[in-house]
Amino acid sequence: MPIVVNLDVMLAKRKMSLTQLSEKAGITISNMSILKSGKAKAIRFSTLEEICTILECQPGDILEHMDEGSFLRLMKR
Amino acid sequence: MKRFGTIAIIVTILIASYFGLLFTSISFGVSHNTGTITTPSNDSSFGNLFFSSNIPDSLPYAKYKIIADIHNAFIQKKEQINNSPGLSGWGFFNMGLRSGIAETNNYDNLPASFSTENLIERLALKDSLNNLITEEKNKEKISNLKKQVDSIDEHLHFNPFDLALEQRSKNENYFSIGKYNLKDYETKFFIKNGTYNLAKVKWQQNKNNPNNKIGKYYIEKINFRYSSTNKEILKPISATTFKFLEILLIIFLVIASIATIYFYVGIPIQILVNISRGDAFSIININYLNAITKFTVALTLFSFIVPRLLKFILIKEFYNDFTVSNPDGIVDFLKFIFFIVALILIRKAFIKGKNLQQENELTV
Repeated sequence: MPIVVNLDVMLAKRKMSLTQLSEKAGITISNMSILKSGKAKAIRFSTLEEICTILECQPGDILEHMDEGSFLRLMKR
Repeated sequence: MKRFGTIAIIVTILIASYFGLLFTSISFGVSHNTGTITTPSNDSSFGNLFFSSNIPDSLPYAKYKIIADIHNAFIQKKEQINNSPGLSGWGFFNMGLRSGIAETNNYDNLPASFSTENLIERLALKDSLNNLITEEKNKEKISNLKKQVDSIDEHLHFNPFDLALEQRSKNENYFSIGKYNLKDYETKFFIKNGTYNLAKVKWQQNKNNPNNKIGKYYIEKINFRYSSTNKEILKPISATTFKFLEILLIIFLVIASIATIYFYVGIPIQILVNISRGDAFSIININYLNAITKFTVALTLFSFIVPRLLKFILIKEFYNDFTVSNPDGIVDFLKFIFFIVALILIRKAFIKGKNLQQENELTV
């Protein structure tokens, strides 16, 4: 699925760790890791809303659609 | 078409054809010729295959029955030897090993002492002796006459085949392969002087009546036995080959039995245990189902293809006269196909379940 989660970029911009975000959002660290590593198959609107509120960003800042080729190249890296 | 569902229609057709084949005994490949066949009755060259008693109708019923019973015992024994030799043995997938006392030798013809003429003579003699007994007053003479009557009675109640007991003690070994039908309805298998033969019909146009064909039986020697009761071809083999094949089959049977128990009992129990532990849609269960499906496919191909392969490769000589008993084969094949389809569907359901479970687990 060529949807990339740019959570690490936003966390770096906001100078926040994944643990802090998970604590603030009330989501387990393991689930947050799944989301960050791109292994997640789906994301609930409520989770997205929570993350966007905490990181003060838009859903588009976290999620990005890529073409298949670019996505595969990114995954190989 | 969409309203009914293509797959549902295909499955319906398949099941309907399965039951159609099951309940109607269609015999593919068996040809029926029409015409008049002249049966060579009492022609000893056909090993008494077409034996006929020819008992005169004028004979009193009691006497007629005595002769008919003796001759019927002979005919029945002949039929048994020709069609269902009582051989012991075992096998699987329509192949096997058979052995036993092969009743093939030295008793092709009814002994002259049991011919209709001879029996009529004996019965007449018995009547005369009985008349003499009623007239005679000398006890010693009566006793002698009674002894003669007893001797005739003994002969009349004797199964002609018992005479040949000593001559039929040879143990024969066969490799059996089934299930085969004789291609032509009129063709018959028979044993004569220990040789295996087919009585086949040669059809000719009737010069007087072009619409009617005339059939005449002729003999064709073959080098294997045929049991029409078991639909088996029995290829004679030596005792050494029999032993070797027996060991080979035992090894194969043991392996096949262990594999069958593992795939049809062990693995399903393992899957049930996994499910009860809450590990239903796992990759392990899917792999187990995959293994059962593959084993069933292999089993189907083996049981369906091997007899046909043997037919075409190993035993070419009976290709012209015999045909695979198709209804049996197809019904067995369809049973396996339905089982494979069911297994594939269950496996698909498990894969779908696993994907849904994974998706659910990876939803944040």
